[in-house]
Amino acid sequence: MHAALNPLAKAAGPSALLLAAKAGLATLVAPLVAAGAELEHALADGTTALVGACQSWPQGAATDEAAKAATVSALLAAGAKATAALLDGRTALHFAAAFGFATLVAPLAAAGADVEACGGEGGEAALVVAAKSADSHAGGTKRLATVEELLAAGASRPAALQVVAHLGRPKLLAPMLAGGSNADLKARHATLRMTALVLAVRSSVADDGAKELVVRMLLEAGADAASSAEDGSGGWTALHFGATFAQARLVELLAKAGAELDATVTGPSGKEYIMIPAVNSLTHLCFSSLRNVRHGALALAEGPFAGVEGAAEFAAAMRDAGALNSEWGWNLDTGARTSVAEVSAAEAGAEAEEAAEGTSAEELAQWRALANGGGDAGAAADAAMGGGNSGYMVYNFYE
Amino acid sequence: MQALVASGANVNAVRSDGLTALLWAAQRGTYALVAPLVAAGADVEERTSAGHTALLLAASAAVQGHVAGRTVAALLAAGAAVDAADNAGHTALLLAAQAGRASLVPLLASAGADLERRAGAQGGGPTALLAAIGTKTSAGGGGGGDSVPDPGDRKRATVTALIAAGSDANATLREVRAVWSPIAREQLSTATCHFNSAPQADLLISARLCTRR
Repeated sequence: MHAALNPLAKAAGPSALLLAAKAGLATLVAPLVAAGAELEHALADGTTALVGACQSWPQGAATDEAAKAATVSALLAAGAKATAALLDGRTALHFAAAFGFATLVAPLAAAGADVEACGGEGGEAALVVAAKSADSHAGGTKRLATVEELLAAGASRPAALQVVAHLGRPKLLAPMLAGGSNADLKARHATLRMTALVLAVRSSVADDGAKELVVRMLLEAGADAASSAEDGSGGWTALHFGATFAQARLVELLAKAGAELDATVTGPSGKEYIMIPAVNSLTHLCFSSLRNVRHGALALAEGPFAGVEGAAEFAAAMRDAGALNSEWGWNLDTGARTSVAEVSAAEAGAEAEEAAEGTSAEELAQWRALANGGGDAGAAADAAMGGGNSGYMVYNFYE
Repeated sequence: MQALVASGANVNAVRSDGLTALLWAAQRGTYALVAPLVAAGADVEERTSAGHTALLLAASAAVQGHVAGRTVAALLAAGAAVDAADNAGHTALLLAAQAGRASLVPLLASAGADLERRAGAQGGGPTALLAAIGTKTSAGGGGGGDSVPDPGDRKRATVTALIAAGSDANATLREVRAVWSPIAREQLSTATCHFNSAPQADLLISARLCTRR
């Protein structure tokens, strides 16, 4: 990405001030500056003393946040530029955010640092970086404190809200919703074009408990349960994802909040799939039903779920939707619409068996790719949103 | 010892390990022995196999500041070359700076020590000011325990002393190590993971980085 920068190129190394700043030696700043040390001396990649002071160390006194705060204050007092950025746009705030150095945020912001500055591979603002930070970087209460400080400094919410929803971090969601507006909830992810609510239900990384809490919080805050993804994914709503991934409790929550039960989704070829009005314990059938409507209906009517409470309502809903009597289904393996007659009896048996066993990981992956509008783009967007700090390493100064 | 010297013993006799009496005394920082040896005409330019003169040993001996100071002063007064460097390119000033011996700085500086002299056999290492703040001069290799950041007053005192003596506050390290630079480091760590055999990469970055990524 930064091909122009050759790490082996001849360039000036760190100055005494940068070394002192990186090591968190606050008391050295004033004497060095008084002796004429250049505050904005930067490495080839743009690292100044101030940016260096906000990076993390694996050991020694410099991991001490108090030492860092003192160093940052000393540098700012001496007149260091709070907006100094690396070639890729990352500022001191980005590093403070990635490592959960909450106490560095306010002084940097007060000195004029831009909380909306975007940097790094994903072009992210500091609040997004803080929201995504890995436990190894900003564990315990550090992440929450940093997010709160950035919000207090006026950081804009939507992008971070989407990340938090995707990652299933309800603790971070609370302060973001507290001072936020409905526009934040309506905003869509830059590439996936989904709202925070859709992202929360769709998430493959959040654990179930956290996911449910996040969905509940978003709905209570006024998120639109019926909102669908804009383009590229065939109009999938939160309910579709909840049904597809067999998340009964989420489906219930969404239905109560007014999600449209009969909304349709379109497949990759633009043909319509019938939305299954999933309810309660039957949601685990939805996937197999969507996969092949007739097989789903058969499993319902004749299979092991026939006796499950709610089955009658489910069957009725499917009948209303035209599914039970339809003579067609979708062959997801080929993406083609197939007539039931073409499906051999042996295949039907095997698939009913499969449906009874539950959803295989492979099938889920297929559906996910479908829902993402075709695989790679969605996967890349997911990776970009994922937690962690791939661009924010722990800099071992003395290595 | 004074008796031995008085009776005509050879003050420059060499032990089996190559040390003269003066080098031995300087290494231990024993001013009480260094002073009479120097007075008796011991050769102050004699070196150990690593290239240390008595002055270099005295500057890095693990003794209290004022004792080291007296020893260094005695050697300087006896005409020891102030910028003598060991085989690794360290002068007494560089060793004192690295070890945080602030009290030796004015002594060495007033004796004409070169403040901007760089460590390293090819002169590519840090100046005394940079060394005082704490760096390793050799690239590669693991370790690092000997140069853990010391936020204490010694570091501050040494830096202040070097600045007062006129050190260039804007000197920079010459070696370009990816460690300093987030972007370069991330690029390089990717490169090392993919192309493990790149010799420059081996030189600059330890294998640990790949496992951490």
